[in-house]
Amino acid sequence: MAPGTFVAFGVFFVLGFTLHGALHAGLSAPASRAFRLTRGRRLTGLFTQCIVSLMSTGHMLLGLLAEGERHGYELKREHDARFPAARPLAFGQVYATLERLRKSGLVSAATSVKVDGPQRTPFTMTPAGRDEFERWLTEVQPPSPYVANPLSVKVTLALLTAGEPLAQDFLRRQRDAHLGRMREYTRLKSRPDSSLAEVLAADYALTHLDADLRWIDAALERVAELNKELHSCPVR
Amino acid sequence: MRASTLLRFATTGSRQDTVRIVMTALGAAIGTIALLCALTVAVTGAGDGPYESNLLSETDLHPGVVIALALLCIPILALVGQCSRIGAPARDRRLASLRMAGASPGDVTRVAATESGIAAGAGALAGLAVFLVARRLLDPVTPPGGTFVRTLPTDVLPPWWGLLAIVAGIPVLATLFSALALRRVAVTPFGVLRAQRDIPARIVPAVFLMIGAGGMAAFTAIIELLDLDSQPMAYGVLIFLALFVLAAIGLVQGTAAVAAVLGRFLAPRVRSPSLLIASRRMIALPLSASRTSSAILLAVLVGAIMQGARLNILRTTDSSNPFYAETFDLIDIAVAIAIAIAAAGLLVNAAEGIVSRRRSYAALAASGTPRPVLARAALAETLLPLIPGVILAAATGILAARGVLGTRIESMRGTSIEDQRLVVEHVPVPWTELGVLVGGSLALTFVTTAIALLFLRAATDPSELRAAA
Amino acid sequence: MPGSMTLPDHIHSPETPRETVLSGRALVKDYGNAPALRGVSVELGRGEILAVTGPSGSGKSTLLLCMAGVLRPDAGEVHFQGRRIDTDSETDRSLLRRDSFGVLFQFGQLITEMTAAENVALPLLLSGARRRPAMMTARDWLRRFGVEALADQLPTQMSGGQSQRVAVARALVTEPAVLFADEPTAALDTVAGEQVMTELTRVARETGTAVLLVTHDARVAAYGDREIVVRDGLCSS
Repeated sequence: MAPGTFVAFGVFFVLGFTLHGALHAGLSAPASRAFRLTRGRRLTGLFTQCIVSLMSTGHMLLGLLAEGERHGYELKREHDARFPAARPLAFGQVYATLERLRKSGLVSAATSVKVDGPQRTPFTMTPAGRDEFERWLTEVQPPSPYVANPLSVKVTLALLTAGEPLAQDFLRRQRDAHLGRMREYTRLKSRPDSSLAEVLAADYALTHLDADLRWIDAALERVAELNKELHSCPVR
Repeated sequence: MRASTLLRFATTGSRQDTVRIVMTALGAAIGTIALLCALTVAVTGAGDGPYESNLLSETDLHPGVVIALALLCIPILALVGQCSRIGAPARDRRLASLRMAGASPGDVTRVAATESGIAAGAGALAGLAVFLVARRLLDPVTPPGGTFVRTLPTDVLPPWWGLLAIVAGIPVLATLFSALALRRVAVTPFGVLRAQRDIPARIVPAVFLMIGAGGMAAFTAIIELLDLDSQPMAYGVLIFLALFVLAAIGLVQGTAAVAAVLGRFLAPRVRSPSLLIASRRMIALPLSASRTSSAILLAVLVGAIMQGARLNILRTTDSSNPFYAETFDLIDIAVAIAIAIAAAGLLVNAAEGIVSRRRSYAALAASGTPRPVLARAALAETLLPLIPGVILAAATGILAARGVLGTRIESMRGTSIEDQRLVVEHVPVPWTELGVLVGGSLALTFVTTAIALLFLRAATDPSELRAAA
Repeated sequence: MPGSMTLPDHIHSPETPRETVLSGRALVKDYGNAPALRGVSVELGRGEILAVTGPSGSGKSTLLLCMAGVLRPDAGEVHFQGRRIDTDSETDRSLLRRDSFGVLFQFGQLITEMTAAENVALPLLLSGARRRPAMMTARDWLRRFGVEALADQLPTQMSGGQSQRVAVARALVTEPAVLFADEPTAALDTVAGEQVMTELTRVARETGTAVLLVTHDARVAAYGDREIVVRDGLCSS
């Protein structure tokens, strides 16, 4: 295999693993971090955070600037309000991205104004920035199938080392966990006081969990055949 | 359930349900009028008249006329019964939904019975009104002095209890009939909703038919066995009636079994598409075959009895007296009218069958089945189960006649009063007449089904694909 | 590695034990060509929403129909509020459907010749209620499901989602102890189906009605508190 392909494979693997790991966070690993929930931040979906990081923070800031000039603090506040499912934006990241955008000529900084104490620099979108933003907005996101499915990795290894019953047992327990999480999201979605953003985020989670669940159901049907295949053809 | 609720459930319905109610009322009206006429003739006594026709003047002849008129009522009642099946699939589905929502079997029976009871009651009252008015209108003005010869016994009014019995009896019968027809919905509503196949009983109808036909064929032997010769005729008549009813039920129910068996036999063997469709339909809906054919079978049964009786009685009595021949001619006419009414009922049923199955017809047509194939399938579906039924009915009838009246006639014949010899004649079987009866009814069925197929063009329109099956 | 996620406490379902309101024990049902149920036992707690999933043809609908008293099981028992019901007569079982059970199917349960309000009032009218109070109650219930504007329309004039909501209203109008829902959203698109399920679960929790929900869709099953899987006529998990 050419080294480039290997690197690409590795990158996809890591990304895919991260995304799925985010989705199933907390299901297998013990809780390592708990997020404090305040009003407007009911869902701390790390999956959404990962998606946000997959797309450029720069484009997101550009979009927020489309409404008019803002300074960094306002941008951070608006981001947190409009994307409650994402991790709150750190100031450092905001300013670093704004600086990057300014260097690329996509935003321009006006003179600092003193407002309630600290200096605040308002930023505006340049025409080049507007073009770039519109190009990005209309660009179609290439749907990428995740090359490595961590669940199937586990199933394969279980079959190779311990046999069918263990693999099936794992799949069933994973299914229960998935459904349990789906129940939680459904309950959240059904609450009358959930905001539209929260409902959309819950929908996304549910759709993906459902996709995994269907795969698990199919795997349960096919695990016997997979076992046969694994044990009959040796690895090259 | 409150009465107002009951009424509301009973009158909910689409256009087909309205047609059903109207037809039931109409049939009840016609039946009432016919029965009232029969009753009038029956009570016309020596004191009334005088009348033109011998049939009315001579009271011994009344039983014949009464029988003829009463015979007409059987197909009329069958027609009423068939009218009450118009739009039945949709109505049964509606009642099954009611059952799933919590209505008990008694509840839905009451709903359906209310509908037929009210419709038939209204029809019966209307029939009574028409009868009374017609009596008054047809009664010619008597000229003063002198005797006046009437054509119709419009001067006779049956006793009030007779009127009441008829006007009350017909709705009661209609109600009972509809309650019976609802058995399946009442007991297994889920089966109706999910269109589960029904398997017709095979043993019971066959047993009924054998007991009824056999009993009538051996009637004289039975009478001797039970030593009823000395008893008044009423006992014998009752036994005969019971056997007749058994045979009739056996024939009608048996057609469903015949349809199912025939369908199962034909389906794997035939090649022509119309026969294939027909045989599958016979397997799927055997009960519709018995509904369609009931009136025709009854008419053929009675007709065959009359043919046999005719030969026998004409031989026994004085051949110079034209009276008996006339009576039997009258009865023949009555049977022909009965078959015609049965055919009308068949037309109603066939048209309703096509309309209520329009989704499956439309689906077949849309997938490329040519309409002539569908038409042939519908004809085959109606006629095939009917053929054995009609033949059996004719056979039962002639056996009954010969069984009751005997196959041998002993009479004293001779040229002069002294020279009398015992002559034993065997009553022949009237093959020609029976052939005409069987062939004629089958031909009439064919024609009426063909007429009903005129609805097929409308039923196979692709827009019908969205209608309820 | 990403950490765990915590939802507010009141999002998790309460773990309080419930008393059993409906139970089926070792149910067996054979349709002649293949056994649909081969010994399934189910317990439904008061106010609980139980999802029954499994591949099509696995017998879940048969299980629901046996528990609801629509079909008689060939073997096994069904108990409701401590009393055995599978041996009841057809009349008694239809009384149960009128007062204590609600049934909801994929389609075809509304009477197409009656208006939505009349359909919802049906169980009340069958119990002998007078027309006016029954119709008023029916309209209240339609309002509860957000479809009061359709009160005087026929089912054929509504969309699938709307008529299903009317059907749910009818199933819950008597505030039954148990609601049996057999693939209630299978004929609907995702949004309409979610609307129906959200309304159904919300009102069922308000009235304390237990729900036996048969579905092959995991997203619908996720509306339940608990799940059992039926496979080949047997219960797994």
